[in-house]
Amino acid sequence: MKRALCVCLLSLLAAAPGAAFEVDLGNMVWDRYYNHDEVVAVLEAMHASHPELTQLTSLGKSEEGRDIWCLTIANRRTGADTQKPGVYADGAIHGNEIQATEVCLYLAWQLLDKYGKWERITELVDTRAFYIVPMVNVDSRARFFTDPGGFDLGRSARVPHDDDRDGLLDEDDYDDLDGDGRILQMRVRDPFGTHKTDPEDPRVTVKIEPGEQAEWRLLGREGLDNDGDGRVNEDTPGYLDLNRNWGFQWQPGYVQEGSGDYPFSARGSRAVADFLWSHPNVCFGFNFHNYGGMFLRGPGSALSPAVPPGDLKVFDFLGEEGERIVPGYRYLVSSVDLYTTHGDFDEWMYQCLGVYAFVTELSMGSDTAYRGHGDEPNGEDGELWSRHPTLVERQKFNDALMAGEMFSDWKPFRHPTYGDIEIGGWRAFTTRLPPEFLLPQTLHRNAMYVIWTATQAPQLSLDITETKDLGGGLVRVRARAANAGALPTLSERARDRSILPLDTFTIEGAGLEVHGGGVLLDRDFGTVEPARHHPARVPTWVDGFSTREVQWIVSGDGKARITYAGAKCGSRAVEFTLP
Amino acid sequence: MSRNKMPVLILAASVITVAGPVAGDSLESSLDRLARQYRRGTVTTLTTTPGGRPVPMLTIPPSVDPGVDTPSAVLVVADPLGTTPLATEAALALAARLLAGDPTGRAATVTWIVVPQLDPDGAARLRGEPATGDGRNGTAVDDDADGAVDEDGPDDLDGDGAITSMLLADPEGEWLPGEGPTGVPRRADAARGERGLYRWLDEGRDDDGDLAWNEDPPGGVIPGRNFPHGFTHWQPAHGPWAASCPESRALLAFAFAHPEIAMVLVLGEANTLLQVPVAADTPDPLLRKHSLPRGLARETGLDPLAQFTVAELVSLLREGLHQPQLDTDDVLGMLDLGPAGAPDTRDLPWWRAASTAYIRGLTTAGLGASRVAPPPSGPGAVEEWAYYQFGVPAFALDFWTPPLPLPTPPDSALAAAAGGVIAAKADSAAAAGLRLDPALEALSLFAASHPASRAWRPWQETTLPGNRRALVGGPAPGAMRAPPAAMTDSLLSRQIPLVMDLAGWLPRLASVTIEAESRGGEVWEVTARVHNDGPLPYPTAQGRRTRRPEPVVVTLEGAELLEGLARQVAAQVPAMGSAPVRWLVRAPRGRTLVVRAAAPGFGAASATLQPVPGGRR
Repeated sequence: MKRALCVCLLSLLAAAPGAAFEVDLGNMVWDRYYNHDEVVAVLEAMHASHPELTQLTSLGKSEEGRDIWCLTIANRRTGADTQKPGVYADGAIHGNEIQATEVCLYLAWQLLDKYGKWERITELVDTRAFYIVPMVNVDSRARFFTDPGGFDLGRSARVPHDDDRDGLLDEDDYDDLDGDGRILQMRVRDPFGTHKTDPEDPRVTVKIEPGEQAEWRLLGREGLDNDGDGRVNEDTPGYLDLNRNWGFQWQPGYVQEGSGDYPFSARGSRAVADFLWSHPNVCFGFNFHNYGGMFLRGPGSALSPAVPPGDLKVFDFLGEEGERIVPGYRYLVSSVDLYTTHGDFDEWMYQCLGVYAFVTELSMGSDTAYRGHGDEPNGEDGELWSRHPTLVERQKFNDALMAGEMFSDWKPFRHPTYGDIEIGGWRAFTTRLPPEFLLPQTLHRNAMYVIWTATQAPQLSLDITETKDLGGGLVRVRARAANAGALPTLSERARDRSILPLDTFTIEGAGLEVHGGGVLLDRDFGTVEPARHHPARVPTWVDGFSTREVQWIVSGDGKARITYAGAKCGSRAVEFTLP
Repeated sequence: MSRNKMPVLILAASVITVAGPVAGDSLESSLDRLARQYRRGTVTTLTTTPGGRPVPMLTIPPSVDPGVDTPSAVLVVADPLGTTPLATEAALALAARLLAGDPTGRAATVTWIVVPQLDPDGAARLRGEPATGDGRNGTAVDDDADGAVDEDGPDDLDGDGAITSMLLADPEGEWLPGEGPTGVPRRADAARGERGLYRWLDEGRDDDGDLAWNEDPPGGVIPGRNFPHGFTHWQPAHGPWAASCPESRALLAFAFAHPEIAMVLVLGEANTLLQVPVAADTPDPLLRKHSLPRGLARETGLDPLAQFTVAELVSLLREGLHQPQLDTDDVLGMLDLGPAGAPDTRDLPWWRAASTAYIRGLTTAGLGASRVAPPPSGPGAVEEWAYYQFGVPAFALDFWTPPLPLPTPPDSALAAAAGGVIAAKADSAAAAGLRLDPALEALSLFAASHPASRAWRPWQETTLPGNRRALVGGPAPGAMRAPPAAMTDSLLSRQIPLVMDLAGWLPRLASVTIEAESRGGEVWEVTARVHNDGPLPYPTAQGRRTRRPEPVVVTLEGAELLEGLARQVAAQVPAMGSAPVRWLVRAPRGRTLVVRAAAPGFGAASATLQPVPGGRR
C-alpha cells in the first residue's frame, strides 16, 4: 500500500523562548538533537499522519509529571498488535544519553516513511508490532536541553536522594558559575598538583608522570559548596539509576549503587515493566544507551543463571549480525566484558519475561578520532578501550571538523572557596554524544538493525504433510509448522522456567475423534513424543530456522482444522477434509 | 468456620481475650472499634489486595511523651504468609494492650504501627470452605504455564471442609502409610525390603487431566515471600519478581516513607529469637581476604591478583582513593560481595542477648517446654528485608507449635541456641529416611490428645476418577501453628508482654552533651557527645552497611567555625555509649553555644554551653 506521507505541521514553542518548531515528517532532519517538546510533537505528528498504523499511549507519568510516551506501530487492518510478534525499543533510560531517543524516533520515522515504499518494511508493519518508547527517563532528558549541564550529567531519575548521607536531599548541585549555560570543569594552578598542560595543545590538561612538574590541580565539575560541608557538588539531584531498578536479581544500594528502594520503585521503569508484562507478544527488546559501540547481553552478574545453549545461539546470531550492520560495534556479555550490574533492563527482559534483549551502547570514541592511515592506536590497556582518541586527538577533530565548538576554552574565574581558578572543558553535546553531522549514520544503522531483528521474529508457515488412511476408519494426520525467523517461537528461558505457556498445535473438527497425538520425533520411523494430556492439543514450540511436525491418529469425517498458536508468533490455521 | 465471623475482643484491664477466628474482612472494623474505644490510634488502609480486601493498619502514638517531635516507631507486620491466624490475633491483642496504656518503659515512648494481616487473601483461603493453607493472594496465575489459570487446585475429596493430605496409590510411590488413623506416613526403606505404595500429595484430583495434581491452584503470590532480600525467582507463589504484589509493594513504600521506623517485628511462622540466624555457608567477609574488582585495582594501582583483608583495604584505599574518611562499610560496599547472606557478626552479640532475654521470658511465663521448632525465615521474608535492606533490628516471632512429646534429639547447637525451649526440627534425615518427621509426629500426638482441635484428620480411603485408590487425611491446614481456641488467650496474654519488651532493645538518643576546652584567647575546642542509652548501637552494623537508616546529624550554633562543619554526622553511636563530634571555634566571652543532634528512628536532643575562658566544661 502506498500512502502519501502527510506533511503535518505543528507549531510549538521549542526550548528557546519564541522559537517555533514545525514538524514536517516528509522532510525530517536527522542531523540534530530534538528536545522534549519537539520529540513529543514528532510523535504526535506521526500518529496524526498515520492513525491506522499507530497508537500513541502514555505509559504513565514521570516523577516530575511528564508523560512517558509509547508509539505503537502496527497495521490495525491486518490484526491486533498483540497478536503479532512484537519488537520493543526504548531510549534515554539514562537522561544524558540522549541520542538514544533520536534512534527511537528515526526507527519510527523509517517504518512510517517507508511504509508502502519499501516492500520489506511494508510487510513488517503489516505483520509485526513495534513498541517504541523514546524517552524513559523523560525528566532528565528534558532537563538536558534546558538546564546547565554536561555530557555526563543527568543520568539519574529525578528521585531525591541523600548522596552524602548528611540527612539532606540533593542540596549541593552543580553551579553554572560563569553563567554560560554549561557545567564545565574547574582547575587551579598548583605546582604541587597532579596535572600539567599538554605541550602539544594548551587546552588539554594531562596527568604528570613521576618526576614531572605539576601545574594544575583539577577541581571537578563547576560548582560551589552550597551546603557548607567542605565538599563541592557532592549531593546532586537523584541518584536513582533507572537501569538498575528492574526486577531480576535487584539488589539494594549497598550492593548496587542507584538501584532505588526496591524493584520498580521509580515511575519510568515501573511504567515500562507494566506495559511489557501485559504484552507477551514482544519477542525482542532494545534498550538504547550511550556509549562505547556495544550490543550487551546478560548475565549482568554472577548471581544470574547462565544463558542456556539454545538461547545462546540466538543471541550470538543476532549479536554477530549487529556487528555487521553497525560496523565497529561489538557484541559483548556485560558481566564478563564490562562489569557487574544488578537489576538492569536486559536481564529482566530475558530472565523474567523470556524475551531476548540487548542494551545498545551507541556511539564510540573513535567517532571523534583524528587519525591518518598508519597512525598508531593510542589506547590504554586493551582492545575495548583502544578506540578512544586522546584528548589532543579530539581537540584536532574539534578544530578541523567542528570549528572548535566542542570545547570551551579555559577562562579565569574567582571562586569563593578555591580563589583564582579556570573554568573550561568539553561541552554537553560532545564526548558521549556524537557531533550532529555524525548522527544520521548512527541513527540509520541502529534503526535498521532493529528492523533487521524484526525480520528475524518468528515467522510461521503451516502445512499438512500427510493424511494417511490406516484402515478401520483411522487416519494418520501430520502437520508441520516452519519458522523462517531466527528467533524461536519461545525462548529456551521462557520454556525452562515456565514463564509462558508453550505454543499449541491443535486439531479439531465437528466429526473428529482424536485417539492419539504428539510431536513427531522421527518421521521415517513414526516415533512420537505423545501428548498424554489432551492429544488434540499438543503443547510445543518451534526453534528458529526450524520446523516442528506433529502427528495425530484420528477417526471421523468431514472438515477439520489444524491451528498453531503462540504468544509470540500469533496463529496460523489450515483446513482439510478427512478422507 | 464462618467467613464473616467477627473477632470478639474482651478487654478488661490488662487481660485480653481474643476468641474466635479473625476474619480479614472485619479487621478494619475491629481496629476501628479499638481505636474508638480508647480514643487513640489511627486506622488507615495500606493497600487493597488482588482479592479486593483492604490491608488495614493501626498507628498508635506513644502513651508517654517521648520528648521529640517524631518518636521512633516499631512496625509490626502479622501473618505475611496468610497461614497463621494466631499471629493476627496476637497483633490485635498487642494493639489492645498498647491502646489500653499497658506498656511501660521504652514501649510506651514509641509509635507502634500494626499491620495485623498482610495477606488477607491468603488468610481468607485458610478460613474458606474448604480451608486451604497455601497463603496465596488473589492474583490469578497460570502456575503450570499451560495457558489456563487456576484450573487445577486442591479438592476436598472427603468433604471435611479442609484440604489435607492425600496418599495416592501408585506403584512408583515412595511412601507408606503410618499406623492407625493418625499415623504419620514414612518413606519406604528398600534396605529393609519395603516397597513404596503411595505418592504423598495435597488432597485433590487431577482436575484438568494433565497427569499432575493440584499444580495450578487458585490465587497467585504469597506476600511474605515477595520481599526483596533472598527473593527466589521462578518459585511457585513467590511472584515473578520481588515487590511485584501490591501487599509487599505497599509495605515497602510505606516503610521507606517513614524513616522513624526503628524496628520491625514480624508475627507469623518463623521465630528468629528462638533460633538466631547464623551463617551457614557464607564466610564472614570481615574475616576473609578479598581481591579487588578489576576497575578498582586499576584506579588505585593495587595488584588485582593480590588478596587483602578488609582492614588492610581500608588503609590502602584511603590512600589510593584520597578518601581519608573511608571506613569498613565503605570498603565492603566496593568489593562486589553481593548481598549479605548472614547477619553481620558485629550484630550477633545484641541479637543473641535479645534471644536470651526472650527465651528467659518464655520460661518465666511457663512456656519453656520443648515444642516443634518454628521454620526459619524463608526466601523473600519481611523480617529478612527489614534487617538486611531496611537496616533496622528485625525479629520474627511465632506463638505456638505443638509440644514435643519425646526427649530432645541430639542437636546440641540448636538446643544451646534455643536455651532448651526448642528441641527438634523437621530435619532432612527424617524427610529422607527412616524416622518420622518429628514435627508431624508431634502434631499427630497432640491432635490425638486434643481431639476437639481436629488438627489431624484421620486417614480415610477414597476412590479417585479412574478407580485410583487414595487415603485422605493428615494435618489440617495451618494446624501446626493453630492451638486449640481455649489455649489462645493464655498463650497470648503471656507472650504479648514479651513482644512489647522488644521495644526496650531500641537504641535511643538520650542526650547530647557539650564541653569546650580553651585553645587560647577566644578559640575553643568544642566536643559534643551523642549519648545512646539503648542496648543496641545506632545504626546496627548491617544498618551502616545498607546506608538506609537516617544519619545522626549534629549541628553547632553560636560560634565561628575554624575547623569542622556546621553540620556533622556521627557515623555510629555505640550501645550504651556515646559518639563524639569535634569543632575548633572562635566564640567571644559570654556567647552561648548550642549543639543539636537528631536522627529519625533514634531521637533528638540539644544542649547549650557558655565557654569559660581558661577552663574546661
